[in-house]
Amino acid sequence: MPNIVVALAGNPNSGKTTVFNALTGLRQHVGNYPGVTVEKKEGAARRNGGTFTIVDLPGTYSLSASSPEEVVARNFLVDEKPDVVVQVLDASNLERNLYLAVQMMELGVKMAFALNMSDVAKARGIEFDLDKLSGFLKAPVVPTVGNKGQGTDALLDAAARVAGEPVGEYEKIKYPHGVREAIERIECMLTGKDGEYAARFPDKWLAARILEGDNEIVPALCNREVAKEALRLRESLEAESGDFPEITMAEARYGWISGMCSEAVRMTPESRHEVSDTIDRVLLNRVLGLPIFLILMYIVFQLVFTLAEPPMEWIENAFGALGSRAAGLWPKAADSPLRELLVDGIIGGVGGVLVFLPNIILLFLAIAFLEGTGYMARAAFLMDRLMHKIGLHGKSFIPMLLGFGCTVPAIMGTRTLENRQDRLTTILVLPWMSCGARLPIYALIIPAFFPEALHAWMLWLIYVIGIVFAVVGARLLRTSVFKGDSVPFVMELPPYRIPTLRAVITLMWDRAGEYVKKAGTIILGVSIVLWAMTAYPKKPEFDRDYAAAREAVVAGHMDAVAELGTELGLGQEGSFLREWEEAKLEMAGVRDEYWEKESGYVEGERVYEAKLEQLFNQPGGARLREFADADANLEEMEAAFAEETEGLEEGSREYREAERRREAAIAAIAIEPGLFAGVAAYRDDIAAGYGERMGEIDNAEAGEELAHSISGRIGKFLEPVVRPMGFDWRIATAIIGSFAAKEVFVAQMGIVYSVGEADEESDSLRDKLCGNYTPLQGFCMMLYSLLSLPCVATIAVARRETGGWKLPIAMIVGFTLVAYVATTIVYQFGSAFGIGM
Amino acid sequence: MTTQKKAQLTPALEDYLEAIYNLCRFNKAAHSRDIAEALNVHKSTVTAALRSLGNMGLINYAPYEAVTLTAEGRKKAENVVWRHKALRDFFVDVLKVDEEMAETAACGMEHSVPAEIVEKLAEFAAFIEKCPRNDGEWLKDASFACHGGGGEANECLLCLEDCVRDFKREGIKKRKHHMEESMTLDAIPVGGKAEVVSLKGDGSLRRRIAEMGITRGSLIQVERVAPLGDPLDILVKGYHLSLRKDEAANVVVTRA
Repeated sequence: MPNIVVALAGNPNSGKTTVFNALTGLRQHVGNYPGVTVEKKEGAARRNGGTFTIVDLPGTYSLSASSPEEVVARNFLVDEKPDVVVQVLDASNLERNLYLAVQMMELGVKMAFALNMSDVAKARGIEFDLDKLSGFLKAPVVPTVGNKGQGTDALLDAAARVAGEPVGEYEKIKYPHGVREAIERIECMLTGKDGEYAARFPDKWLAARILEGDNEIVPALCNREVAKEALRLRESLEAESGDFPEITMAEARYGWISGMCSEAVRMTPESRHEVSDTIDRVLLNRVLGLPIFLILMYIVFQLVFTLAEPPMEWIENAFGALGSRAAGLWPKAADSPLRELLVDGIIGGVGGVLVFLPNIILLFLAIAFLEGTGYMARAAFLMDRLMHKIGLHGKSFIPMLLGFGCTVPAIMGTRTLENRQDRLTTILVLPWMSCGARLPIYALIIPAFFPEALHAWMLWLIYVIGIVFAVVGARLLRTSVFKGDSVPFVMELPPYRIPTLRAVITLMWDRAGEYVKKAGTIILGVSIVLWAMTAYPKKPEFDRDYAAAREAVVAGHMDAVAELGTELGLGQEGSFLREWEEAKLEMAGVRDEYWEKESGYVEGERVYEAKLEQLFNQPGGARLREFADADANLEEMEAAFAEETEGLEEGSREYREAERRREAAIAAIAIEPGLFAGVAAYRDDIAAGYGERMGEIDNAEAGEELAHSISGRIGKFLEPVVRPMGFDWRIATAIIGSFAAKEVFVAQMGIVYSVGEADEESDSLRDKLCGNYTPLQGFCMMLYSLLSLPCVATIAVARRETGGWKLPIAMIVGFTLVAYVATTIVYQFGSAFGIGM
Repeated sequence: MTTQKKAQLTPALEDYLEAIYNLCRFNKAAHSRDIAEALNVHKSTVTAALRSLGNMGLINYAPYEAVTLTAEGRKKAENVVWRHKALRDFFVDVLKVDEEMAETAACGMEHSVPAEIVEKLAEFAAFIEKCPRNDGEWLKDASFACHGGGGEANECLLCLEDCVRDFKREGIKKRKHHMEESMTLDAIPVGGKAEVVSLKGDGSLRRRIAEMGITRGSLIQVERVAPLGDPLDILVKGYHLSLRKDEAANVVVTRA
């Protein structure tokens, strides 16, 4: 038996997806129809030794080509010529569902029908005369219950039967006399060479579409005479009957359907969706509707972002651990570019891709739930007034809200918008909803430049600026680039249903997979490039002799240690303590150079232990041992204290308790008070000061290296360009780095200002910023961060969602330009009037 | 003869048929309770009438269940409704009788006047309404008097020419004007019902509205307005559809 290709058609909300899942099980894959971003799902089924390929057509209400979905569905039916089309009908809403069926009958395809959710319909008191229905439709009608998998075998049998028969003669819809004449007239004028459609469609069908003024076919007609005549006929028909032919024809189709339904369907007046209506009375209530909506949105936001935090941390930690594992493959001291690439570039990059996964999975869990229950349409219904004002659709609200968390899942969330113009506009303004990754930048800058009282206001101001840009941007786009009629809000409010677990999981799985495959590769590639740009080229010779500087620091340190040793009477001129410190530094050097498993480490440790033994056991060494033990004890206590108080607020009850415990433990160290004071002085002044000075040298070296790197050079090169915004090369360099992820800005500023591992809590970095820039410049940094693109992941996802590079490139250029111009205006204006100087 | 003779459709039964037909247009099926209410009779009489209509094969009837029309019943009902409407329209539009009186007279006459005569009257009314000469003076106040020269050829010719000129000028404009004057869906209050008369607006929107089932003659109930005051939630063809008020303004309706 040959493979049978089945096209699955149906209205949105007809349960088409559940039938598709029931037919194909897990044997399905998701792709795209060529050239458009309409999703194409394919699956396989087996029955009685026959194999079926099942193609899920996009859900449409008609085949009139007024949306990309309708065009795709129609072209598939005509070009791919599936062996049979199975239409899924929502049994509780038969009349409107049959409209599509009538159009497919007119197209002359072989059909079978799945009367889906027939159980629900029966429970609502609707009875079907299947024989009569099938008699009218001239095609088998099989009752199915998609979410329970009932009726699928019978459906496949029916499909196979129909596929094996020649195309039957369908019932002809009786159009008014004038319409029929007009169709015939156009048909006569067709020559078969009237454009790309002519060869593919039957003449009569084509003539009817031309008369209807089809959006796809008429503009493609190369015989302008036909088009002109059609226009004339349309107008004369309108003058005669008061309606254009497409309306008259839609009426005739509905008329036929209504006649059929009155024969084959029996309903009781109770057949209304009572439960659904009751739910709507609450959820769409004039008073309660909006509060409930806002609460639900709050839950969604919390779910997507707060609940995702722990797994995101796990992923980060796991990749951190994997990175050190991989680093362990090389000797510790090895200066291997390959290791850097693997650890910092690749593993870091993959981690950067996967870290969004919890967000995306949870987002689609929420979306699958909202869509599956039918609430998504209600959300759009509630919000449309507001969104329509800025030229968007009610359904844009949820993605815009998610934008405050992270732009990446928010862009993926625009899937729910059917209209392309709405979708593109939403994607384009989304980055201005200030995302969570920008918060560290604000958190760093605001306290650095602004007095306490203004903190909250500044943060508020930044968010509001973003919203204003998004609103104005959307309006402008809608009246310029994406002009065209605002899309009709003619949208079904489907009855509430309980989504199947299966559908929810499938959607999550598909989206997560797509993200990793399609967007992930780009993000990974760009992250590696950005990493390389900040790491290379290496500086062969530094401006400063860092080795000498380090030696000087060590020499000074040793003097200080010896002095302390003398004071405490540890050996001749403190030689015991000095030797002990030397052994420790040597051991630290060994640790830096070797992994624990390497022989050099073992050897170094052995030498160290022996040295300590020798030092402690020599005459008078017992006092040194006491000193060393106290030092180790304190070290341990500090570590324990840090662990205990992690995440605790300073001054909180738990924090104070931990402090008390530490005090008690310190008091319990029973050594001579003079010696203890020495240990404390050693730890707090000498060792700490040494660490700080060495850190400064390390940071200065890293800073010099970054300045030498490609991104540093670009930063310097760009300095004249960014100057009007009040930026210098350091900020420019940090901006380049922050394209990988916005929060990197903070770390990069830390490096260029040589303050080490900076985060948004870093006071030393704040001091540097405050010392080097004015509040106006600080504000400009925030403004630029807000208005420019969030990160490479945004671009990658935008490419994935729009199916081309055009929009992402426009975004890169557009956002940079807008951010540049706006920031420049603010800076120039501010400096001219002396605001925030 | 074994088959029972097709019982004559009595005037009373015709009224029932008409009532069922009207109810079915809203709900797809009619409950005996509603039928009783519509005809202002007791429920028990309804049952008997329904049984005989069922026996005649005009309705699908089973006790305690809602009633739907069979194909034949629909045809019969449409005929009754049409006769009723044709008579009433004739009285109102041609004879210029006031509406209430026309309604009562039509109710009484629809059963007794032979179908053929009703048909002729309806045709006549339609003709009068359609014929451009209607625009002349003679039908204006139903006085049926000639305001011109009383049959003199010249006068009549002038009168006719006036008619032709007016006809040309008014023509289609008149119908469009009429359309704009009438009520649109956005003006129907929450809970109100309306019947679609025609669709206005630009091409793709109009087509989309029609395809979703808002076609001439379909019945719409406005279920609610969104809390912010825009889109409407309407019930059409048994399902909920939402559309913005400015879109609803393209749907010309009459209150039902």
